[in-house]
Amino acid sequence: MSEPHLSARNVSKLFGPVRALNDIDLQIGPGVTGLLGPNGSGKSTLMKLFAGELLPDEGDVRLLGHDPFHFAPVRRGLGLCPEQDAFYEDLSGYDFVEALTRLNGFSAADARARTAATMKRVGLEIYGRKRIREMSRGMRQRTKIAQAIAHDPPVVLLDEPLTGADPVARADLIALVRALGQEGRCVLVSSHVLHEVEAMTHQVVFIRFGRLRAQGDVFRLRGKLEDRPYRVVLSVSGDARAFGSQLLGLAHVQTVTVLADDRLELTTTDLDDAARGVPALAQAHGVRLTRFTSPDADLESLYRYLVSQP
Amino acid sequence: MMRDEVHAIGYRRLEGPRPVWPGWPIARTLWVLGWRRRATKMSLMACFGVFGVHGVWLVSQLMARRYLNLGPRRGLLTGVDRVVGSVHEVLAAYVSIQFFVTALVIAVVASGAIADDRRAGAFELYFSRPLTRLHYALGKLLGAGLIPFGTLVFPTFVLWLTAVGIAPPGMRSELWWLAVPAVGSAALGAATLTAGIIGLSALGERSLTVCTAFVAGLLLMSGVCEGLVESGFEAWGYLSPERDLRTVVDWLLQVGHDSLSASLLPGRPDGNGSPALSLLALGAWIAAGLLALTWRIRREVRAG
Repeated sequence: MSEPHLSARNVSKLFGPVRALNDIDLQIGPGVTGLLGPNGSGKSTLMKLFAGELLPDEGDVRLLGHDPFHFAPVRRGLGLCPEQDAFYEDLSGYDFVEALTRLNGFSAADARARTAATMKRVGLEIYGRKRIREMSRGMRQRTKIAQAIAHDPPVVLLDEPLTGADPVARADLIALVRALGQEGRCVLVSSHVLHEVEAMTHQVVFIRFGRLRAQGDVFRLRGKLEDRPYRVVLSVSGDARAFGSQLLGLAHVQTVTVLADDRLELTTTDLDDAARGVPALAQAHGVRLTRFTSPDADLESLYRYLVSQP
Repeated sequence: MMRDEVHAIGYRRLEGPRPVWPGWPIARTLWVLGWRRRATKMSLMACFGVFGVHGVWLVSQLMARRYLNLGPRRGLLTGVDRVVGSVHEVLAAYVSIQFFVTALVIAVVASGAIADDRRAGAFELYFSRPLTRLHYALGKLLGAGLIPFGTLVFPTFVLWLTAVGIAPPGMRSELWWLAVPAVGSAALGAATLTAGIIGLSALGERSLTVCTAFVAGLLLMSGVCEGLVESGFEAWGYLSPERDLRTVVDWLLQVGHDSLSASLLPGRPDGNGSPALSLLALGAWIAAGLLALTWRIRREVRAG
C-alpha cells in the first residue's frame, strides 16, 4: 500500500496536564472524510497537527508522506479552511485569495488566474470583488474555502466549513466538497452538523476525549454495534397485529411492538436481512407494506451511541 | 475496529518555474492594505512636500552658485553660502526632517503588520502554506522597510544625484564622496524606523494603538530628551532615536548648520556629544525591534 495522504501513528498531544489527543492511529486517503466528535474532543488539535501547526508530543504525523511541521514545502499540497474568521477585512475577496495563493509559490499572473477560476467555482465571481468587511457570513465562508483550494492541493482540511451559510449556500458548498472528494483529493471535514456531514460522505472518523472511537463507513460501523439493534418502523394496510406475530418468526427480529392499527416497530440485529425478509413476508401473507424506515441507521444514531459510551 | 483501504499519490513537487519567494506576497499584502487608508496617502503627500522643499532649496542654491561663479560676481559666493547653505546641509536636513514624516507613513502602513495578523488569526493561514518563520519575518521587514526606502533613502539619493548633476563644474568633485554618507545615514534612519514599527507591532494588540504609540513615543522621546539635554542631562540625548540619527548624519556629512536657511528649518539643534555612542544607540533600537519580532513569531508560530 502506498503512503496515505494523512497519517497519524500513535499520536498523543498534551497541553500542560491535559491530554488533548491520546494514542491516535489513523490513516486517511482520498475522498471526503468527516471528522466528528463533541466539543473539546480533539478535532481541531488533530487538524492542526495535520496542518503542521503543532508538533505531537508522542507519535508521528505525516502529510503526503512528510512531517508537515518540519518540512515546510510539503504544505504546498495542503489547503486549510480554519474554523475562525481569519481575514484582512479591508481586502476584497479576490485580493485576499490571490495574496494567499501567491504564498504557495505562484507568480502574480498564475495566482490571479487561479483566484478567478476558484472564485467562480465557489460562486463568488461577482461578490468576490467586495471588501471582506462588506460580505455576509456565507460569502466569507466561501472566500475561506476558496483560499484553501485555489492552489489545487491534494489535501484539504475544512474546519466547520458551512458555518453561517444559508440553505442554498450550504447545498452548494456540500456539492463542492463532494466534488473535491470525487476529484481524488483527500478532504477532511470537521463539523458538528451531522446531517451535513452525512450529505458529504459516509466515511467518518470519530474522536472523543482525545481518543479514536471509530473510523470507517457509517453504515458498516453501525452494523458493528451488535448490542444496539436497529429499530424499524413499518406501516401496513391489513392486520398489523397478526403481521407482527409473523415477524417474530424471522431469525433476526428481536422484538415487535404494535404502535397503532397500521404501524409496527420491530428491532432487528441485521438491517439488510430485515430489508429483504420483511417485504417478502408481507407479500406472502397478503399484507401491503407502505413504509419501511429505520430511524437509527444513520450517522446521528451512531454518534449518539458513541457519545453515550464512557 | 474497521480499517478501510487507503490509496494515495504522495507528495509531488510543483511543476513549472521555480516557486516565487513568499516574502514578496507578504510585503505586497502589507502595501495593498496600507494603500487603502486615507492617512497613508496624506502622510505620503507630506513626504513629497518635504522632498519638494529640499529639492527647491538644493536647486536654487546650486543655480545661484553657478550664476555667481561667473567672473566679477565670484566675490559674493561666501555671502551666498551663509544665506543658502551647502549641499551637505540640505542632505542632512532632509534626512533628519524626512525621518519624522516617514515615521508617520510607516506607522500608518505597517503598524498592523504583526498585530493585525495576530488579531485576525492569520498565522494559521500563513503557516498552513510552505512558509517558514524566516520567510514571514523577512516578508514583513521587507514590506515595512521599502516604505522608508521609498520616502527617505531613494529621495536622498535623488537629491545627491541632482546636486552632482547641476553643481558648477569645480564643485562636483567634492560632492561625489557625499553619496555614501548621505545614503548611508538615510538607510540607518530607514532601518531604525522599520525595526521600530515591526517590533512594536509584534508587541501590540491593535494597529491603531501601535501607530499612536510609535508616533507619539518618537515625538515624546525627542522632546523630552531634548529638554533634558538642555537642562544639562546630556546622557538622555542618546535615548532619542531622532537625536541619535541627527548626530550621526551631521557627523557623517560634516555639517555645521550655520547658514540662515538651515536655521529657519525646524528640528536642527545640536546633536549628541559622541557620534559613536549615538550609532550604538540606534543599533540598540534596531536590535530591540528585531528581538521583539523574533520573540513574537517564536511564541505564536511553532512550525519551522
